Amino acid sequence: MHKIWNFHGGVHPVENKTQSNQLPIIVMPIPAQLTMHLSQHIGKVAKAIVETGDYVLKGQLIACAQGFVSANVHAPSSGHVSAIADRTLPHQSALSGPCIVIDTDGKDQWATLSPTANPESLSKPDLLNLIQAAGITGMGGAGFPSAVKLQPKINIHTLVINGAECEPYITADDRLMREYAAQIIAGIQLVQQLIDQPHCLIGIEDNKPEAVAALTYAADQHTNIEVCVIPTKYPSGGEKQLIEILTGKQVPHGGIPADIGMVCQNVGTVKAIFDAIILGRPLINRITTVTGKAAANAGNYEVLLGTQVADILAFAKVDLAKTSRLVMGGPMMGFTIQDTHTPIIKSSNCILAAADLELAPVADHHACIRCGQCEVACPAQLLPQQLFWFAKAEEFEKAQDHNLSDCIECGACAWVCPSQIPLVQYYRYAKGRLKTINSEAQLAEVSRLRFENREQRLVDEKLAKEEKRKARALTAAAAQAAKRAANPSAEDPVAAALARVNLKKQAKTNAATQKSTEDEYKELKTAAAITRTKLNKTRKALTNAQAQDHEQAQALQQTVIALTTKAAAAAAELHAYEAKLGLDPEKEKTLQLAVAKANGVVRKLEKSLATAENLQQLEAEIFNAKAIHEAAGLALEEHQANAKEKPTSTQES
Amino acid sequence: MALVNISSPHHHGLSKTSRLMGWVLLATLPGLAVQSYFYGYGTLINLLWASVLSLGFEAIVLGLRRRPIMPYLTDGSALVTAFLLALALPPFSPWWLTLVAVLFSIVFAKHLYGGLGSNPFNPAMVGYALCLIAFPVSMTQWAGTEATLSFSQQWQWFWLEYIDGGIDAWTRATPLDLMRHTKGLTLNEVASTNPQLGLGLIANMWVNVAYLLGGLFLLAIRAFTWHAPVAMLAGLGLCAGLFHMGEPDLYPSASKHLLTGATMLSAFFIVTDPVSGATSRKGKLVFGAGVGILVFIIRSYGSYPDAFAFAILLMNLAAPLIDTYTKPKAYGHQPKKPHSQGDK
Amino acid sequence: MQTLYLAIVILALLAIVCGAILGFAAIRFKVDGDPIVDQIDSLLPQTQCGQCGHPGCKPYAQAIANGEAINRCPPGGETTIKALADLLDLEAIPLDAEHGSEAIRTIAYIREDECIGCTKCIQACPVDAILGAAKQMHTVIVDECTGCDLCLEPCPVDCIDMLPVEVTSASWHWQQPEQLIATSNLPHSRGESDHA
Repeated sequence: MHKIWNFHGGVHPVENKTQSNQLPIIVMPIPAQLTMHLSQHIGKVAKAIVETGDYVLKGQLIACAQGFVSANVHAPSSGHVSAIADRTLPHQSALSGPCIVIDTDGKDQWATLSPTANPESLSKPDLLNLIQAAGITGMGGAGFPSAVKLQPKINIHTLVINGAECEPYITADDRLMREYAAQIIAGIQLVQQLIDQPHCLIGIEDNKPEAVAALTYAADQHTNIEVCVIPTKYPSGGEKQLIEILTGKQVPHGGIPADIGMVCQNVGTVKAIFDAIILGRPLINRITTVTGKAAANAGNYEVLLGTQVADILAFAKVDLAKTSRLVMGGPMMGFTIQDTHTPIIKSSNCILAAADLELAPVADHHACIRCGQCEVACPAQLLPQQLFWFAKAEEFEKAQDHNLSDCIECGACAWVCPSQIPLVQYYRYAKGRLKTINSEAQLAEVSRLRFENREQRLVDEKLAKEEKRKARALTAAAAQAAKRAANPSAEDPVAAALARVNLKKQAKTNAATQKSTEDEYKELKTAAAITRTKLNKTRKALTNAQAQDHEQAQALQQTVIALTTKAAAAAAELHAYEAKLGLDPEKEKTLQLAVAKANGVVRKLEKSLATAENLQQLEAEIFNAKAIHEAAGLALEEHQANAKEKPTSTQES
Repeated sequence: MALVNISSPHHHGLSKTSRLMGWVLLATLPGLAVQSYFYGYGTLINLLWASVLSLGFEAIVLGLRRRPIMPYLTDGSALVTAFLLALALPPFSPWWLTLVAVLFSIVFAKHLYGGLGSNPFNPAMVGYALCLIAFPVSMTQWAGTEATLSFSQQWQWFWLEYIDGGIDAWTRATPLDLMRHTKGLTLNEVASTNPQLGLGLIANMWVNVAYLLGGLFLLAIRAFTWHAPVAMLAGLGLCAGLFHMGEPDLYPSASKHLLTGATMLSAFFIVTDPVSGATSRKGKLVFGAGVGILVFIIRSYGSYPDAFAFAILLMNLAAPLIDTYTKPKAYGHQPKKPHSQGDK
Repeated sequence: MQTLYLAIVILALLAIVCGAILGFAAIRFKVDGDPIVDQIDSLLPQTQCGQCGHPGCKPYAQAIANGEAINRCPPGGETTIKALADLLDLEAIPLDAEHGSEAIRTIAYIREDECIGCTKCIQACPVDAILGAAKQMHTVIVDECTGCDLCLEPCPVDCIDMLPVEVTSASWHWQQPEQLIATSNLPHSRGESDHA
């Protein structure tokens, strides 16, 4: 027997496993619709490579992994892609995420598979590629892409296979181990082949004797695979806890098992690896437990990924009227869902349809009396009561100092809490806030740098301009000096001066004639503005003066009259000039706006075209809108052309 | 049925604050019985009076603080405070003494700090210490064990503070008091001049044994961990033993220290108060040992014969500091020495 | 008389020694720059929005160091005021409403169809988060936008929207559970999700 260690804390909730582990796994028929989420894993969202209307075969790749930590998604059955749109995520937030919806045709026609007869011949990169291509992710809970986990940077001496299944109610792994023991062992061998033949320890809780027997029998011939029976205690199936139980070592804070030469895989994942390499089948189905008092046919079902919870509940004869709480996952760590159209993903191991009073009632919680029972139960050796105080008081940094990040959210603390405080929710809240605070701090740092860089750039630009100006002045002075130095005694200074004067005069007249109409326009505009302001000022002065001094007022009135005529003249001149130029600023602006608006309408319509059903009408509308847009554009162009043409013509005439 | 959206875990154990408090109340019963056997009905009357007062004050303050009354009243914490006070107060304490003690415990020590769970000091000990300072004579007069009062006599004394025939015949200084104020005599001489000391010690011993039993019961049902009480008894016992070895004439033996006064009551019912104590196991060890050592120091050198209230209040003060320095190492923070791969 | 002289000499010596130590410490442990301004700056949200009346966060940090009130930063809100109060050992005061109120974080989006490419917003952006060229459509680099609003005003065609930051399943988190039974008769909604 392999030596078994203990881990700190843990609790013993009522197991409730017999409701679902008595019958063999039942294969659920193909549902009418499959909703394949593009992020069934931790990491980047996969990218859809099919389009609406495409026909896909069972096992066909429909979305590609993006980046290193991501996973492929395959069609679980044959059918047509009916939509690529957002659907409810199997996530506590009940938010939506991108999905490929497949309307199945019931033919269940496989794509061409490439099974491997002799896996011993496969090289490590081949194995890794096959696992990656099959889109395999951890099937125990978190859904971390397996291919990433199986490329450790250091030598792995121990492969830990997680068959503990410590959560109450769930029996999916139990049934899987009983019925697919040989496949699991073969899968383990493939993983061992991939990571240099480490010793393999399979951890199974002692409440699953049949599974232990099946795996022990299957592993009989293999000296480097050991089945270890561990005492039933929640959460022994936590990766870190299982590693401590089986090897007595702890995964360092902030690290991963590979840091201490270990890799941990769930039994379901290993079976999926077997399917992927030996049978060539990608990950398109999984075993899910349906249980709870509201389920008439509680048991384990082999379901296609993407199957909606509603279909499974109907198949397992769940009385939704009796259900007050639908939990995806186990009662200790699972999350509630409200939308029964939520689909199954790669890590959905259980659907718990709990009847009223079956689970802990939604009770008000009392004050913490710091009894310390949570501390005794915490498998991460934290001080849950302190973390609770910090989370409640929003002292997130202190919570961080008390290693909030090491909390695995197993719920043991809340389970024992005599005051029934939803401790895990407090920790999740604190973790979420910390995450936001950190990302905001990061953004602030980036913004600060960008701001400082920009300020620096502006200062630099100003300095450079100044420098240039100075340099120009200097070169000009130098040139003049050089000129003077070059001909210190010109033929005749007077003649030269005269010539210069003449030249200047000529230049002036030239400039006057060539002075661009634009400048002239500007000048006029300024002149008009200046007279206007002058007029306004004097008017103001006048009103002031009228109140005080009569004589001065009279004088001012005269000025006002003079200025008014002057201003009118300036305005008239400006208008005349504008007319001459054919300029109409008001009109130009409205035309510009019309163009932008028409353009907007066209774009919007085009966008809706992609989704709309009434194609012809929309197309017609777009045609119309485009016409309007073109007309507007033409009008604008014409106007601008007119404006340009007119001055030249006036000049010519 | 509408589906709820709540955070995991969806399961809950059977543990409940009110149940926990209930067990604590139950565990005081043997001590209560023995105490009443030796000292008469005083403790019982006190207990009832204190319970009524404490529930009343609790309800009033909750009302003033606009908190729902029933959930807090039924959590049992006010009753525990009342029980502890009644057991700690002398059996001869009159009604007003208990009233002052309970008033201070519930209103000042508990609710002014924010109610259950927020009080930095043990409420019962605050009330007790206040009375000890304000009314030292009433607080150190214990009944003699040689003749107990009848219920009606006790009842009369409780309300009117006199008994037809006089009270002096029945009140005695506590054994600890006698051993403390030796007036230059050795302990043996004190014993020989005070015949009632021996009797008092025997009564004290039985009371303490009864509390020990109650405490062991609570330990067995895991109402608290062993750390704080064991550390406290060890701290007190070790100090007492060492000093007794050095000067047996001046210092009573460890067994006398452990089995007189409120030693066991404090060890299992007050030092274990989670709210005002240290949090971690290591912290509880330090907290308990600190209480034990302080009790010995105050008993031996202080001006009050028994010292639990002060020792515990002082350690309550130190609890946050202890917590800071005894933070347990979380999973993965201590590099455990590599184990062997296991014996196969 | 002699004791008096002795005392004076000893005191003088003591003063010299202490002065020397202080002087040495001043040189040895010299702190470069003005760390308090940097510390204050690091607590400000760096939106560079100018709502405090200063042209950026650093200038406001400088002003705070010179004694200006710490409650003039609406984007930072209560959290920033609290942090500043902690740092400077001041009392946390409520946000000065004159400078704006605390709002949810938003990000600028340009309605690209309507943009006429005037580059005015580019010049206004304090963190260079808008990309574009004259007569070309502009766009906001969403990851760099601080939501300062400064680009709204100069836009001649009003094509910039400030939209709240979208909640994703990655950024979503649980809210704090409802407070105890203190608020009795509360509906069973302690798991209300966060849509802010």
